[in-house]
Amino acid sequence: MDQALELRSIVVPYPGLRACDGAGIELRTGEIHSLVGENGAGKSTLMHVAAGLLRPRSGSILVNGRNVVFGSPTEAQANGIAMVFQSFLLVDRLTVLDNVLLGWSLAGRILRREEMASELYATCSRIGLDLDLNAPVSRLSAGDKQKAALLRALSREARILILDEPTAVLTPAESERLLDTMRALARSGISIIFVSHKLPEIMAVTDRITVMNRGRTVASGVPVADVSPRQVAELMIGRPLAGTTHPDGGAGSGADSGRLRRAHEPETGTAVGEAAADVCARKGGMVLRLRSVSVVDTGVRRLDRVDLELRSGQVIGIAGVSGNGQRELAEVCAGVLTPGSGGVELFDMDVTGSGAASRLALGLRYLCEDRYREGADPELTIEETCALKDYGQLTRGRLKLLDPCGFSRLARLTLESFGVVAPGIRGRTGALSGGNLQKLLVGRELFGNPKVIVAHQPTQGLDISATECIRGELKARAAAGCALLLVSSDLDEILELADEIRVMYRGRLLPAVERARFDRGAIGAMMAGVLQ
Amino acid sequence: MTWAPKIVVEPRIERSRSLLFLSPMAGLAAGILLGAVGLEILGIRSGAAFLAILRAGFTGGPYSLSDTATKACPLILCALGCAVAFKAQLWNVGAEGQLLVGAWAATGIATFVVPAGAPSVLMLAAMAAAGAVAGAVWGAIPGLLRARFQTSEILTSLMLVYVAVHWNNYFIYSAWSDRGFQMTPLYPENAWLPRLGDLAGEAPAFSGMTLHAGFLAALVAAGWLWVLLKRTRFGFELHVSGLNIKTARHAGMPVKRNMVLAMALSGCMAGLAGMCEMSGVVHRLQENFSPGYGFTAILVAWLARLNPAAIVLVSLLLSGLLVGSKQIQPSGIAMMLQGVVLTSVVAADFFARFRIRFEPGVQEEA
Amino acid sequence: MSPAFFENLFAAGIARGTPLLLAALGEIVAERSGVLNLGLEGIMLASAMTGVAAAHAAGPLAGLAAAVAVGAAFGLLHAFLSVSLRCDQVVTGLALVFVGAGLASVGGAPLVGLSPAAPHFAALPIPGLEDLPFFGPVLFSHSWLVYLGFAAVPVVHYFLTRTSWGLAVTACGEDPMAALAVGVRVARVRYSCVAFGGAMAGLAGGTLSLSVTPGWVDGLTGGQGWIAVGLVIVGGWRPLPAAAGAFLFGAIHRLSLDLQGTGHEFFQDPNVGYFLNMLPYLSAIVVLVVASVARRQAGAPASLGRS
Repeated sequence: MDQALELRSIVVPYPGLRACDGAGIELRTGEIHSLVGENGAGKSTLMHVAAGLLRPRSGSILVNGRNVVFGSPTEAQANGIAMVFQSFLLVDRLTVLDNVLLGWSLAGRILRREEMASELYATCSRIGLDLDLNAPVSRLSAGDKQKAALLRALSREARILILDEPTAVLTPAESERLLDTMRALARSGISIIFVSHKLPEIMAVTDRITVMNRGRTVASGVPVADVSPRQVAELMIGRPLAGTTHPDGGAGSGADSGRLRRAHEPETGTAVGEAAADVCARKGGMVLRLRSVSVVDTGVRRLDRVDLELRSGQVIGIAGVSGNGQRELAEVCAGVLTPGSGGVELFDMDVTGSGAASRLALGLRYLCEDRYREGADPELTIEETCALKDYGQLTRGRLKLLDPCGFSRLARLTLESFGVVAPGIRGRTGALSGGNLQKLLVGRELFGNPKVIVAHQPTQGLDISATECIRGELKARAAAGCALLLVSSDLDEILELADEIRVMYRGRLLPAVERARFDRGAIGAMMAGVLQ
Repeated sequence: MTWAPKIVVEPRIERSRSLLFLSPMAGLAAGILLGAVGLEILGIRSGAAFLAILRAGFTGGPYSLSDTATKACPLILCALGCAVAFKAQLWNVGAEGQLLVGAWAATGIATFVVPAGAPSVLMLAAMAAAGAVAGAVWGAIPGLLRARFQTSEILTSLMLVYVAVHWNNYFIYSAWSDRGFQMTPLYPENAWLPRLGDLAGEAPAFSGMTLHAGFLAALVAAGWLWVLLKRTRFGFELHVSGLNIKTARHAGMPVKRNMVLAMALSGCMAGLAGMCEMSGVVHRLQENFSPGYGFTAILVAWLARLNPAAIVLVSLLLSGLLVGSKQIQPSGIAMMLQGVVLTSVVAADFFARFRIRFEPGVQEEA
Repeated sequence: MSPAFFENLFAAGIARGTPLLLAALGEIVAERSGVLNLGLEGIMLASAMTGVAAAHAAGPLAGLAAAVAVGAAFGLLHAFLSVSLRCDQVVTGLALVFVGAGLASVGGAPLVGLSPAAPHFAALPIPGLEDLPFFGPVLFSHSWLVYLGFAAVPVVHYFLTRTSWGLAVTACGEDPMAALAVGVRVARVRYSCVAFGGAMAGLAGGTLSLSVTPGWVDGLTGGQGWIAVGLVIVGGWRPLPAAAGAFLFGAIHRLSLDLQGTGHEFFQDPNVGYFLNMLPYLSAIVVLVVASVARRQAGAPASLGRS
């Protein structure tokens, strides 16, 4: 068996830590090799080195046994390596065709669009991709964008394909199709590295597994037949799992076993948690209501006559693949976006046209998706970030001047509430890690015991301990009577926390599914728009 | 094969305070040097020129200091206004126009509205109010257009400068012209801001000095603006909007309202600067009474990093340059030097924000 | 108002609009690559002055070459500050206006009031076409620089839409990360585009001082550099609408003068003249607002102005 690609002892430093600390991977021709690890383990960084985007501090790369050095992505491509990025890195305003032609010498100085298009259509049918080359990327669904990125990678005679978390934005059905495409490509001789943290897919499609933890390779090239999902999970987290199915204190153990179970069995209605009767008892009066809310943006209906009712003590989970209107829904609830038509009522008061300030005044807090760019800003101090929504209360005197002592007191309390690790309250917010920033934001939003919480992707991209911490907190608040609207593309998260699930598809909210009738398969079908 | 050694530029995580101070200093020095080189190329003896500037602006005895402070007054006010807008990432480049309409409004009050016999306090207060309001309106227009239509405030405020020039010219040369001369009638006595020279009776040393009460107003304004930016909710909101408007919106801040307010406040300060210049120095509306205070103010605000105390200092420095460069011909030198200094300081800022590292070559693994 | 009035107006509009057009075309390319260059006014002033100075020494062609060179030099400086040093592009642009305006004022002092004002390019009517009714004098009786302007519009359009370089430029302005990922050398592309933009602004300045209004006076451009920046926005970052806007503004500039010469009583009143002078600038504001309302801003390159 030939060795297509090998990375040895790659070290990539990052300010404050080592993203890759002697990591490596060994890929054989024609195999599908999974690179597995938690969020933040260093998988993407290692792959960026392989694709020529990052330069390592030390280590070596071998292609077909030959030592090579990449000064740029073009050189990596010349060696047959191509990567499909997690965020695709496609230019939105250009068509699929132009994205493929960009930076490609074969396209000619004067672009031979028609000629190249017919060649590409041929490639598409060969691989089994169905794409409209003349569509602007901005109008494509996530699944189609990925096909475009895949086409771009394959069109330049790539022999080694790296897929970075490709199923993160796909419906279950699209994920299946992608796995099929991968198998077909591997059969035709292309070697694939499949980066993921979702065990079920990994076990389904891989030949061999490499596990990374904290920048190091802890298991290299293990054949998938020789290892159990539990062992892989343990390697990913770096410690043994507690064996019990019901958590009994200790953050992490319940989730670990939960992960295991999800790897093997479909989720059914009798999940861990309270009985359905307990859930009903918690529900109180109406707090948030959306009536026929629509949002239109450049001709596209982002929200289509959405009706929603949230009661105190209730947790509604909005499931669905990212990009079906979840962001708009969360923003309308939070007051950041004004709907084109329809009404929003908070505690029976019409707040449709008023901005985010009205929500804050009424006790609704919003955990937004974009932590660094919307929940805060990297250039703000940590102190300022903590005070961002409550600065109006931190005043002193008749002139209502801001009180610096009030600011620092609030900041200290906020940081303490979740054990945020920060280099002092005067430091830049941008210096915080993703997990710490999210803990800070959760602390900030939950500080004043809000009555309604809107959370959008609250644990995206976080490692296990931060994820557990935040989910636990949200659960506790719901139990204490808070209303929670949880918008997430992580179906496991929704299945764990929600009383009622509503799937979001193409801007419409599909009818509710009660906890007693949770069925992963059916919900997956709704996410793909199969069941109406 | 190995990776070749490479020079890597990466952003600094922590901004060291010393560098934040040193880099503009280094830029200033580099700018002066480059300016000197430029002057030499144009055939002007740079050494003599700089000495002349220094003497006229700073070291030529109390009269030069008085002149410098007098010129600093409108500069401080305009720069304070610019700082408010810049804090919110609103580029008010049209301060010159706001200054011009402020001067026009003040002239209107002095010449036509408040009688010459009224108490001076009343007259000056009315003129100040008029100048402030006129400037505020001139600044609010680009602010409104930006808030409502996202039109670039850089372009609209700048276009309004040209409009203001022609607007004032109409009154100078035609409507309010003093017997056909290219200026309006001289202000009545009660419209003149008190000057140091007025105290010549008690203190003969002050005779002939042009420093006027407007300078005090400018200092007070600097203090007031410091409080506004650092200790009020409005100031905090401007700070956040300037960094990231989405974050400000998420925090429930009235972003659009603040845009208009900030631009109006900015214009208000520039309008006051115009009134001060009229009441304190020129005493009649005429063309070209301003050597570009509104534009120099942009430079001042940026050099001072929007800090009101630093604005006062930098204004004094630059007004010294303005006073001094009246001695050297041709007059465009001041503007050119300002540009070179600004460019050098902006370039030097690079070292405060980024770090240059040398990456050694990577050896092959055995 | 006779047909001759309109003929003169449009002809002058085209002539006066050419510097605007050239500067706007250069700025379109620069901004499409993601770099905002607000220094156009300063660059045009400095290159106009240099053009006159060099023309006095060695003829109009040398003057034009000098103007282009000065413009390119400023462009490279802006590129260095914005791309390599990653300074705030608004501030560096403003700084260049200061430098350029000051340089022009200082260097141009000995050039004011010279007679003849400057060696300049005479009009070059195209034989045959110049005799067409209306279109002859309006389109085909100008100096060769105007024809250059006409030709530049389709060339720039073709470059941006049909060539691989143009595709790279667009990608750099929309999503430089994506461009880098496929191996486009973003810094190199931006340097070239900004230098080109500067050179075009230099050409515009030279055209102004050596063809449209030959000679040098302090502040010759009177804000046209800023109008050129506005034209890019109004034209949606596309060459053809920008050209239309440029000629329109050329005509508006001329209109205020022409109206005063019509013999109409209203326009004879000298007071009206002051307000007519405001016309180009007020219309610029109006056009900008209309463009914003029409969502032209949505056409801005996504990464414009970000360091």
